[in-house]
Amino acid sequence: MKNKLRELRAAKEWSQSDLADKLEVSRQTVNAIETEKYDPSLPLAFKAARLFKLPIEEIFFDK
Amino acid sequence: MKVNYWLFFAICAGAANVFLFHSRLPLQEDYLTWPVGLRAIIELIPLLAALLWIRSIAKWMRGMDEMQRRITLEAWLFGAAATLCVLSFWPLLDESGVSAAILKATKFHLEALDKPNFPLTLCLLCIFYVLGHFILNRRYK
Repeated sequence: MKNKLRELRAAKEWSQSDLADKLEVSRQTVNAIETEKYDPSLPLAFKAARLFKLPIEEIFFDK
Repeated sequence: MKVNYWLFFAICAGAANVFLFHSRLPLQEDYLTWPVGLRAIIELIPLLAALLWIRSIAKWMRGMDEMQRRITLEAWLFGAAATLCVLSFWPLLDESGVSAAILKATKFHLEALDKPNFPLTLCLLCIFYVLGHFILNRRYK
């Protein structure tokens, strides 16, 4: 699954650690999601969508 | 730290049990004449410590984020499966004299390890868990 998390984070000028704190996960998890090595669970994906005030499918999408 | 404390205690209790009561020490000679209740307590201490260790692992994992939990669960699964495989093959190695030769080569008088037992099982589980964790961490890095 692809995602725009890195671009959205960069637009807000947040570091991976900042985003990790806001999503209540580790920095390693944010990095793994951004590099598409790990697909987040639905609750975490919804949390990211709420944080960026975007529909979930605009952040996470199929190839 | 509680997690490691119980693991340490379980391994020590198990190892002490094997070496004191199931080895060739003089203590073993009259061990079977001790009261049954006392013997049951001595034999069950490592098991109790292991159960407390498992409970503290479960608590520790509930505090993790979802990816760390997944890595840890997969590492435990890998560790448990690998330990099961090794312990299944252990009697074959024993029958063919391979394990005896390895233990003799260590020169540490580890005759108590010639059959699968509690400390050996725990040590194998931990070694394979660490290996699995290392492999999975690299995958998600």
